[in-house]
Amino acid sequence: MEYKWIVCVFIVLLSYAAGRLYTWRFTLRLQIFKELKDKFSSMERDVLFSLAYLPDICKEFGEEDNMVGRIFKNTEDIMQNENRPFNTAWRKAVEEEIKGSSLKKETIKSIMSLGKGLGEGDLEEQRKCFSQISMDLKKLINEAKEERMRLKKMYMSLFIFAGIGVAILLI
Amino acid sequence: MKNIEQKDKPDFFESIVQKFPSEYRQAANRLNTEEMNRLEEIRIKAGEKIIFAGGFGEIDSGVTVSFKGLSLIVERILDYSVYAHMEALCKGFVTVEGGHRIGICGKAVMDKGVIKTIKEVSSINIRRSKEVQGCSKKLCQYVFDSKGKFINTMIISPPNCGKTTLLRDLVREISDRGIRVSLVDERSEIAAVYKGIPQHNIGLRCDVLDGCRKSEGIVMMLRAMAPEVICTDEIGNSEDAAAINEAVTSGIGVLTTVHGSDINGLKLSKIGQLIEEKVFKRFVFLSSVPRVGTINKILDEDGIELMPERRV
Repeated sequence: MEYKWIVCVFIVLLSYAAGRLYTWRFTLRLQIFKELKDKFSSMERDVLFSLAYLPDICKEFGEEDNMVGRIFKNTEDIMQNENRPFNTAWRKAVEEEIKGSSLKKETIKSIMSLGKGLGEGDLEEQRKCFSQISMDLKKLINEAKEERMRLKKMYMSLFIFAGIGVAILLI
Repeated sequence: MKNIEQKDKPDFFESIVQKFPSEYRQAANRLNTEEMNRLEEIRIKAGEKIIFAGGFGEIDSGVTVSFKGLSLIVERILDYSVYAHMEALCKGFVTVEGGHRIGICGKAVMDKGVIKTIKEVSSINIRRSKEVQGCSKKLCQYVFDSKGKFINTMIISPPNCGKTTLLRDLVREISDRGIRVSLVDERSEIAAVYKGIPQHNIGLRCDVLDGCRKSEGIVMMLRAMAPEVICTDEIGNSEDAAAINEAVTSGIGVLTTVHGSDINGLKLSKIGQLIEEKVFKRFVFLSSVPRVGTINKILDEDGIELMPERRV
C-alpha cells in the first residue's frame, strides 16, 4: 500500500515537472522579445549617435551564442556574402533560425518585419524605424506576458490534474 | 622616380568590385593583370555599360548596369548604412575602405536651400586611391630648417596637379621626423580615414580630425592635441585664414595647399593677408606638365626662387 502512495506522489510530481517544461516556452518567448528589444535599443544608439554601420553592429551582437545572437550573426553573414540589404538579410536569418520553433506564424511575421527600412534613408528615417520597432516589440512583449499568465496557469493546472487523475486511477 | 613607392591598400578589386552584385562582377574579367594595375577609375551609369579607365585609356566592359543594379551597388558600397554617409553624400562623394572615392550623381533633394541628400542615383565614378610614398623627399631640404624645424609651407597649383598627394607624403615625412602633426582632413582625402583607421600612411605622430571644417578643426586641434605642425588641404576663405593666423601666433607650424597659379593672384584672394604678412615662408608651385606632381618652383616669403626648376 505504501509503495502505491509513493508511486502516486511520484506521478503527481512528474506531471508538475512536465507542466513546467511545457510552459517554459512562454517564458522563453518573452525572453526572446526582451532580448530583441535590448538589442534594437543598442542598435538605435549605435546608429543615431555613432553612425555605426549595420553589418558591424550585427557582427558585434552575433558574438552572443543564443537565438537572438544567431539571428544577428546570420544577418551579417547574408549581408556580407550574399550582398543583401538589412531588411532582406534579417527576414532570411529570422526564417532560418525560428523555423520549427513554437512561435505562432503571426509572431514570426512580426519579428521578420522588424528590419523594415533600417539602413535606408537618413537619420530621421532611421529614428522613425526604431520608434516603430520599439512599439512593435512592446506590443509583442505585452502579448507574450498576457499569454504566459493565461496559458501557463492553464497548462500547469491541466498537467497537475492529469497527474492526479492517473494517481487516483492507480489507487 | 626610383625612390618612389606606389602603394594601393587594401586591394582595389577586393574592396570595390567584390561588392558588386555577382552579375556585374564579371565585367572585370575583361581586364588583364596589367590593366588592373593601371586602372584608375570605374564609371557606372544606369542603363549604360561599365567603363574602366586608366593609363591604358578606356575599356568598355560590355556589361550593362540597370538602374536597380546601380542602386544595389551603391547600397553595398555604403555598407547598407546610408545614414552614416549622409553628410558625404550631400557633398557628392563618399570615401570607402582603402581611401577610394565614389562620386555620386543623381537627383539632389534640397531643404531650405541646402542639399539634404541625393536620391535616384544615376551614375557613379569610383576613383582609385593611390599614395606615392617618397614623393616629398626632394622637397624636404627646403621645408625644414637647419635645426629640423618645419617651415610654414603653402603648396599651390591648379586642380589635378598632385597637391594632395604631395601634402600627404609631406605629412608622413614630418611625422616620421618625430614632429607631432595634427591633420584637419575636411574632405577625407588626405588620410582617408575609414572606421577610424587612416587608409594612407600618414606617420605615427599624426592625429587626424576627419570631416571637420578647417576653420573649426584647426582651433580644436590646437587646443586638444598640442601639435607642433598643423596640416590642412585647400584653404580659401577668411575663416580659414583667421584659424591659421591663430595657429601661427601660438607658435605652431602650418602646412597647407591652395588652388592657384601665381602669388599675385593669391594676394588678392581672401587668404591674401596670410601672404602679405609673410605667415608662410615657402611657396611650392606644382604643375601637371610634363606630368602630374612636377614642382615648377619654390619661393621664399620675399619671392626669391629657391629652386629654379625641378621634378618630384
